[in-house]
Amino acid sequence: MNSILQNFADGLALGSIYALIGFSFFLLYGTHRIMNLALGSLALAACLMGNILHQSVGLNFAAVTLASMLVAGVVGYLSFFVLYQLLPDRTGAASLVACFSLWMLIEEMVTHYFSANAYRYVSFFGLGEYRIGTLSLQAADLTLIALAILLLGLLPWFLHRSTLGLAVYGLTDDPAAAAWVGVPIRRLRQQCFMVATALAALALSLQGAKLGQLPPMMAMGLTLKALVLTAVCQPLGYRYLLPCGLGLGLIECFALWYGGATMRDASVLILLLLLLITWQGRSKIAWRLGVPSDSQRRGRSE
Amino acid sequence: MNEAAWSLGVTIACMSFLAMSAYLLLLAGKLSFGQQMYFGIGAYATAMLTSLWGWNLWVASLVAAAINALIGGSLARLLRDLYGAPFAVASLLLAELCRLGFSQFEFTRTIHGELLGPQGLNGFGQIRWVLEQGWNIRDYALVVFGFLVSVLAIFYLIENSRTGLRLRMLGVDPMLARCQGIRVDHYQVAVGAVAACVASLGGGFYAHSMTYIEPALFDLMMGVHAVLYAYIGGLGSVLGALLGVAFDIGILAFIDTIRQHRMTLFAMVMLILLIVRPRGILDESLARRLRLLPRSRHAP
Repeated sequence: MNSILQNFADGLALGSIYALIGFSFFLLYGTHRIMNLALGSLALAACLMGNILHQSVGLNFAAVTLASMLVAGVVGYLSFFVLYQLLPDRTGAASLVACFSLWMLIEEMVTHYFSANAYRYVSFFGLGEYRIGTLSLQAADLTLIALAILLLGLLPWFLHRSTLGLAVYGLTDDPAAAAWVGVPIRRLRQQCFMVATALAALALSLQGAKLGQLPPMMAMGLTLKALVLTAVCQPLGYRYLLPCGLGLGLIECFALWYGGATMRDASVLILLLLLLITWQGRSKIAWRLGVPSDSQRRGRSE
Repeated sequence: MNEAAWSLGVTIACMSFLAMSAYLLLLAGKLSFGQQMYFGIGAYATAMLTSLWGWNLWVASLVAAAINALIGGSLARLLRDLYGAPFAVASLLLAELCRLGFSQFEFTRTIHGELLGPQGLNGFGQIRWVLEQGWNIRDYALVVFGFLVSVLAIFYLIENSRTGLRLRMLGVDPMLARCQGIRVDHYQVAVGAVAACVASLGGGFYAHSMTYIEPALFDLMMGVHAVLYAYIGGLGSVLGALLGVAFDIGILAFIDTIRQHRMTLFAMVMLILLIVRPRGILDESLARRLRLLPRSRHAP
């Protein structure tokens, strides 16, 4: 019973990271129609730069995370400039290839210019784990879960009630119409790129604090799974990111517990592939299951 | 030419098969980061047929290519509704699943007192068919080059035919192509099968030149490189894929002073190229000027 509870808690924490990074992808895809594959490595590079403050000056987790998010904002802006402003073909294969190239570039630079010592990450305010019987709950995990639920829970309110949220929603829906009603599209797109990278940096910073290290390979695995999660949820709408992310985290942890690493990888890959083929390729199946996408829902209400 | 140069030539040729496979899919409007799967299946299947059952390499390569064509065609049919990023992600997931399968795959036979065959994560060693025939690296390289030239010639003929034109149409706008009466689904399945077949040939030759393969070789980076090679070289002609491979493996890996920063340099060049020449060095307009593509009155 304790193992089940432990796996449940671990799965929720892992799923929260997927949901947070997935939301970053979602935001970028909605506003730019770009699947920024370099997002994870950009956020990781920002976290490692922020971590320098801890290693050189001894700053705590909050300061390091704040610095990481600021750096992530800056690298997010630079990536916006390269992937969106400079690239002549911003849609389709060329954009994906550019994102992959940027990802390779950042990962190579991180591997070359940060020593292995730099991967040791600042701890979460020196707080370890809380024990309830044999169940252990890490403070960083609890914060991650709370953050994901709070951010993604408040998202519908933000998107539908606030001026900025409505502008983002309008830009996602129809950029030309948004421009007509006075939404500053270019500035908003820049801001979305910066916010998405900063949010991914926040998720990675919490994960790094939990594990005590942030190796470059970590970004790749998290990014790819979050990317597939986004592709799966894209026809359904952003509301499904949190439940799908948490579900994925739970499946991963329980599969690891049940059958080891191979079982975990195989089950997650097969599940994501099946979801991708059925929900992305034929969204009418999702429609039959009673989960209409945002555009379908709007079309129906009109 | 010394042995190292011939060996480098064989590696370039093997990777060219993979790049050509990615190129063919790109022409049809599909970006696949999973062509290393067919390369891997081709490598394992060919090596098993020659090492465990003593088949001739050429027959084994063709049988492995046929198996791959069947798998490639079936998967292309399964993923026919996916385009853009979802297709790229799905192909990547399939390749990772396949790599996971290689890491669990064990099939050994004792031949002349020696245990041969794939042994999961430990890989598959002692692939010695070429050495057993008494060939040196030069002989083997010439045969591989022969195969490469043959495949290039077939690609050239296809590109300059009505089929090639239809493929490019499909790549630009599948909906429009369908409206023009092109059977999009059939073309997609055929392209998937042929691309898998070409990648399989490369994998078979690669396994026999390296004499050892393991699942880690066929990772995501191999698939990404295949696409990047096709993009660097250009989408105007199949020669572009070869140009991309020669640039990375032939130039960047060959110069000692930059070998350590090869990947950084490669990624930078790729980004700059995508900004300056979004369709690669040998793009459609240059290919037309060099008469690698038929000239059209309406072409830019």
